[in-house]
Amino acid sequence: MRRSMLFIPAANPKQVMFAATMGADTIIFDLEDSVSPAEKDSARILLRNLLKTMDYSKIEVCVRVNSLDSPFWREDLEEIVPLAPGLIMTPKIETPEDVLVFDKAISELEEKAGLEKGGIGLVPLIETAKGIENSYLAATASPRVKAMLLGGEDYTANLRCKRTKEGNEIDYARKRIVNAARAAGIEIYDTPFTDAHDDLGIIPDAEYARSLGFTGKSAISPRHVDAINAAFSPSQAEVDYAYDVRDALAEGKAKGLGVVALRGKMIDKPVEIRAMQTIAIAEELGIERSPKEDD
Amino acid sequence: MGRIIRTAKVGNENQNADCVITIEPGTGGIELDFTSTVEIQYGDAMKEAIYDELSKYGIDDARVTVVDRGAIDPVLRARMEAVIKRGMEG
Repeated sequence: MRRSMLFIPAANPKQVMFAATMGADTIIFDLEDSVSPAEKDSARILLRNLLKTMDYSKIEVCVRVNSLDSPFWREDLEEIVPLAPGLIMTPKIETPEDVLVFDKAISELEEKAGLEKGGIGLVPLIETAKGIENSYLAATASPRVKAMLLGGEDYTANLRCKRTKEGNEIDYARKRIVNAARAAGIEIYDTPFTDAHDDLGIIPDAEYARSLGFTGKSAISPRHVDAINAAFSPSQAEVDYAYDVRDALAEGKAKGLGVVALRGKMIDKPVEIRAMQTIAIAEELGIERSPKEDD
Repeated sequence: MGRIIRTAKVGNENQNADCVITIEPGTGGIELDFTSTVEIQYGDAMKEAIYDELSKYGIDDARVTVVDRGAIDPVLRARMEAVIKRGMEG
């Protein structure tokens, strides 16, 4: 279950040590933008030692390595792959060929380390206009690709427009990338809300992302994690409705009814699918059905 | 046998749970200057880790300065490894 993905600078020992206590479903330990070129070597070693030592079993571990146009990505992989993180995030992915370069390098390192080939998932970070246009091809380039993340800051710089809190400038990219990811059958995560001091602006931004079909949202501030988790968790009313749908379908089937209705509305296949998805998420999050009034 | 051929520094001075380590070419043997906010309780174990990291790279001639602000063992060892590798580079 991934609703929130929190970026943590890999060069900061205190933040890396306490990453598992921030409430995020996934931690993205960052070796890229938050680490200066002079500290790439020390950050890699620090992250390797802490990943080996600390208990991150309650969260999903993702490591963002450096991009293919940097001199650092291969050394990042050599240090990180043997630790078998659940996911590796690859920045500035623009083509399926970019995915395949990472895929091949990871496969070789997995084999060298005696790990199961393909065990580490890839999360391409899509953050250019070209990347958005090719996002379906990137998503389907390798079975290793489990999800994609939209990077709104670099994307708007590439579009040569201003990044705003309202986000109109990334609306096309958001809708396009959600469609591409769903067509490819993978998960999709929204760009961070970058004003770390705005605890209220994150709420509508996360809710809007959920309404578009995103699986979850990334964050650069731990202060935004709770709002993201709330936005991407089903409400109690949604959970109750999903169970009502399931009950109505079971009752209809028992009675041999071809068409089942609930509260005056026919339960068609999409309603059933959404209800089952909601129940699955509720069970994973431990959200129980409200007691019925006659219980 | 490793050799420190240049001065190198690693770590953030303003960060708790970190330490700043400087390594310089030695003048015969290991010379360690160690200060820590947790020296009374953990000083001996930390010094042992420092000497252990130096021996992993075969360093027996270096001047090492450690200013610790509460780094745990894997952090201290990571900083040592990074500073040794930098100091050994040509």
